[in-house]
Amino acid sequence: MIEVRNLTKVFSPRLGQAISSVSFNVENGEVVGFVGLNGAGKTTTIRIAAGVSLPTSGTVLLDGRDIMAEKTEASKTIGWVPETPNFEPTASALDAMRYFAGFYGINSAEAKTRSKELLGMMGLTGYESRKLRTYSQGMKKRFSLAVSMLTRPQNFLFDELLNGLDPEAIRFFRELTVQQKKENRAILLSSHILTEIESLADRVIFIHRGRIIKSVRPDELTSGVKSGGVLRIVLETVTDDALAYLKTLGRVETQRNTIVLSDFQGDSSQVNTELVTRRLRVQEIRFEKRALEDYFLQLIREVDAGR
Amino acid sequence: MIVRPFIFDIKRTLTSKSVLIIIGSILLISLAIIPLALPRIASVPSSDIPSILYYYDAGGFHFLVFTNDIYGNPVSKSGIELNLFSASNNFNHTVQVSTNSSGIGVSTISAPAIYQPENYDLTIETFPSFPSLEGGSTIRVPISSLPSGTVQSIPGGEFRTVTDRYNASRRNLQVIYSGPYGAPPTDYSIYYKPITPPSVIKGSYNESELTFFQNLTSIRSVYELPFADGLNRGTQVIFSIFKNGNATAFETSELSVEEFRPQLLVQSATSVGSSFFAGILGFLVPLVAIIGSYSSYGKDRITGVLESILARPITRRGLAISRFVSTLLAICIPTIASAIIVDLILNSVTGSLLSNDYLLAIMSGLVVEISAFVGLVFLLSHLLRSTGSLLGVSIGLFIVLDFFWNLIIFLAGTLFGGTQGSALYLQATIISYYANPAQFLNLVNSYVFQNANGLPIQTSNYGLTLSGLVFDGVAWAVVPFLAFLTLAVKRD
Repeated sequence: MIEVRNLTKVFSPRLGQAISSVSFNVENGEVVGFVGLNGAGKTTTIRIAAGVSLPTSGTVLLDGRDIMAEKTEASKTIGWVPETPNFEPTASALDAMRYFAGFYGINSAEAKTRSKELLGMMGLTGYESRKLRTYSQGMKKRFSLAVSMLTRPQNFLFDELLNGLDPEAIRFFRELTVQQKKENRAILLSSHILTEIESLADRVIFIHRGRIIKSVRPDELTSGVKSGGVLRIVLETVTDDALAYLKTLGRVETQRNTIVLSDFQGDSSQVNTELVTRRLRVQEIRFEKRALEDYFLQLIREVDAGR
Repeated sequence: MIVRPFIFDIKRTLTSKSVLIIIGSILLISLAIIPLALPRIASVPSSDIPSILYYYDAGGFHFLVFTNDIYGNPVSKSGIELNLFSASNNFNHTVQVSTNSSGIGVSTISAPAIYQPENYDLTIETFPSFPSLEGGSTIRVPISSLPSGTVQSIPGGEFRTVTDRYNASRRNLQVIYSGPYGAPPTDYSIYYKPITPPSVIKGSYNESELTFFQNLTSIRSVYELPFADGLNRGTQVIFSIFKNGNATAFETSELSVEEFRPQLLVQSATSVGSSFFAGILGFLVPLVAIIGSYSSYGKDRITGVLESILARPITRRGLAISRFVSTLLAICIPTIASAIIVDLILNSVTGSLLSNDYLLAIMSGLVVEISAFVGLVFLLSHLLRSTGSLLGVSIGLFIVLDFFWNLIIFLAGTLFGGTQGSALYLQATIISYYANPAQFLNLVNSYVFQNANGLPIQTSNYGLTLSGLVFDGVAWAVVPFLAFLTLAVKRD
């Protein structure tokens, strides 16, 4: 279980508080999405929770152990994947993992076996002996995930883990997260890919300008929010007549022969019929629902408007 | 639990390319002690007293002063003071002579004639070219007013061995002699005779008893000695100058055959060792420490690699201490190994080991220098934001503290009106070394040998005491480390 208590961080008095009195919990068996704009304070919070950054005040408890006061014991319960993994570039993947394993008291033979197993699981078989400086950003992310699982910790902190991962790795990560959740682990996941958070998170915590502004369950995302979706239409030729019609349905943006209709709340088939009636050749028409994104952006607007 | 990463850190530091190169260099440089320690061919020492010819005429004594270096080359602008004294005649007169570009100085002292058994006392004093704590050299010889114009030589000045300028292992013979009234010796010849024990040297020799060597052609001549190689040890060689057709020698001198041959000087282990440690190893160690610290901590700290370790079960303090100690060990071990290698080489070449006390003092000094520079680079890595600035500032620190420190002291001394070579200047230099970890080994050497800049001194008179040295060493070893540790624990 991850308990974040009144975390405040000031990097410099000139810049003010990077995060301010941030408090939330991630229960065991729960996946919590951590959502915010760039600079909102997600990474700062996660880095403090991982024990690599010092809070100005407040603390983080990991399975009841204070990351500040009981750093050694608390760190044993956490697996952290940073946004930009940074490892000793001249070490091979296997050597680096064995080095890290030493901190957890894992003996050399077991460390080697476990490292190979984890690297294999992350699709890095055949790359174990390569120096980490030769790894791509995606491979470093996979390696970082493997390192975070060395001791099968109870809690995970994933900071923009999906950035730089290929679709196969994203699917692997999705399955892994579900598996870890089933094994009753606490997972805090920050990501800009909100659709993934929407599909994985049991709860979403919104942070804005260093403060927690909301914590909601996915089923609460659509209630009380006046949000529609995005209708993407590809026409053979975009005419003024078509644009005039579509502007009556929502906000219109045009990119060559593609029209993106935001805040659309109508029926897409009816739009298709109407366009055909106007003798327009519709090559593609697709409706995308963006509940979390809409919810998030509306929330931000409301908070900023209320400031 | 922390043993494995600790060993990994040491291994990692030791195997980083830059540190490996420098460690290899240090171990190779320790081999440079071999040629330094080998016995050297002793140079013919340049005499403190110049060669002096003199003659008397109605006007008084005329002195011709000749100065030369170890090769027999003339030395100009040498200052010599001549004092002529006679108690019975109530005579006391002093002149100062300076040599010209031919290495010759001429002076006359007007004095009444005096006949044996009475003599004048001639006191010859030379001035050092550089102010030192010691004075120049002084000798006093009796001279008499001989028949007008007859040239005499102050004993020991007419025949001298000099080093061959093209081959330092060969010795030549320098002869300084003139005809009457200082004229070129156009009608004189040199003869010689080796006398090997048990034969004994007689009081005087006739021309027929000696072997012809050379005709004199100028007042100052240098001759090779082809016969010297065949002479046995202990042989004395008689050299005499004869005026042609005159069987009685005008000047006779005897030189030991050892003066014709190069002598091998076996140097003391301590002398060679101290030059090596202070001049080479002590100079390079700060650079090794800077590169080692940058590679093992500074770079990782600034690029964020350390965070991947900090996320493990280790405290900030634990990680900081682990990195510091491992870096310290990684540099100290090969440096101390180098000191031991040097000691063993010195033992095999000179036959003596460095004293344990001195070796311990040197090793302590090296550890202090390494610890100070490792601590400073670790500290800087918490104050600077880029690897480029860290490396630049660290190397700049090395250049200032190691290369330019004495220049800075000189400029500061000049600014405040100090005089280089004065006791106050020396004291200021020594005290400034306290503030410079790169000069710590120099302080150790100065204290151990009670010597500074080659001059014997009592170091306590210049502010260098054992307690001061120990305090300074502990301060340099500990303070940068503690400052670094504070930042590492308290700041991101």
